Amino acid sequence: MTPHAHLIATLLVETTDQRCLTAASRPPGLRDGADALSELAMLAAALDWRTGALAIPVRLRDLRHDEIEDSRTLITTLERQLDGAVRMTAQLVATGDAAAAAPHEIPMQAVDPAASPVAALLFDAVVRVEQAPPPHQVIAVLRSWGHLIAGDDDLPDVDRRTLGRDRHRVHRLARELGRRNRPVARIETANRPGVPANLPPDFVPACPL
Amino acid sequence: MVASTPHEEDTVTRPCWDRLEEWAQAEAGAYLDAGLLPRPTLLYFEGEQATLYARDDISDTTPPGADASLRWNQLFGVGMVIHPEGVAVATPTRLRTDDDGMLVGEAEGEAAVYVGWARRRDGAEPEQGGVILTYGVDDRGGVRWSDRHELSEAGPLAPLLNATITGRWLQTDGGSRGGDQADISRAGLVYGLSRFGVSVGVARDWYARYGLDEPINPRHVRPEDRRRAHRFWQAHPSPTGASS
Repeated sequence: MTPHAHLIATLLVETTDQRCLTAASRPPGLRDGADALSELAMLAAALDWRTGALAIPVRLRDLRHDEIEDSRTLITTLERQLDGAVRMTAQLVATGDAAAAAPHEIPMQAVDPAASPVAALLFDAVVRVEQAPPPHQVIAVLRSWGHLIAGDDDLPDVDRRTLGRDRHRVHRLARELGRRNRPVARIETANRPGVPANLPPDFVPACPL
Repeated sequence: MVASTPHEEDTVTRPCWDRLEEWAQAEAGAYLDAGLLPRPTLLYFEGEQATLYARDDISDTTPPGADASLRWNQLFGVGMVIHPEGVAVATPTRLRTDDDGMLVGEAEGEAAVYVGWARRRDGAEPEQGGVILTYGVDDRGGVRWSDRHELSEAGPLAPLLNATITGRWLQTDGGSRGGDQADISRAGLVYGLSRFGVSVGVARDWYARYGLDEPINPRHVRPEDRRRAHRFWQAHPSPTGASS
């Protein structure tokens, strides 16, 4: 299961004051950019979210027939509990041609969030140790990089004087985020960080990093 | 529609020493209901209270040929420095049920969850035990718990369980392990394990009592985490006054 680099990821976030924000990732090819997914995750980190969902088109390799299947979407959802703990789910949904051909024959497949690199990235972003930049800065920076963002409210004006500085800051954070959670080759699966979500009630992650 | 998540029913999944089997069934059932394999999970106890929770997140993606005992040592790693009174483990396993001694493949056994526990308290008899709970999954994906096999002792993971509560670990590398550990804080150990897919959670009121709020030496942190670590320990200085 690998994120499909040439397709577009979509992030939907509902904030604590019940406003929704949608973001579609930019196409690849930004020089010196962090990867688009990490940049989107920065948006989830900046917002005061209550629930969120990230949809990413993925390709699956069918091991029995050794063929690659397109038209699946990995949907990772986050939900913040009242005690601050984060609950995550992940599932694979058939989309596009496959769903059109047989809409009811392809069931949704649950994916273990702890075994998903995308969930690891999202969890790392939202359970942030340091304060992410304020949301209006992140939104302005992401739009300047070509991400499409729409929300219930009007988006804030871009402050041209500080845009360069903010871009540098968001880029650095996104690059670190991506580096921490880089999807790795099979031989290096043991080097992926764990996802301390879905803990028993009243438990907190033991390591804040 | 959202797939079921673990710990949906708090009353069932809240771990408790007297209800270890129910906890293991709920923990495994949440994964099985979602069509996933349960994962090795560890609980530490002080008195009757569950204090620490460790879960191996990448056990089923470990490449073939990798050292399986290394994964177990990593999962039990926190127990090497925290000596809890009690420990319990729940892990998916296979139960071979034919008696004629023929070797059937590991994959051909009956699917089951192994629960093992050991506890040693002051002024009480040390207790340990194990049980294997087999289950079946019907066509609609529902989980049906079928048999319960009680083990006479703690079972296959007894050495690790006993080492956790006694603090006596087998030194297989000439004693160098103790030297390596000398300058690493508990939080640093948890950080290191988390980089290898071990998720550790701690009960809120035991976070400081276990010394997990001590700063991590920045030299023990990977470069991409260093700035984050520095910021965090600046914002949360250690109550014991240790330098970061």
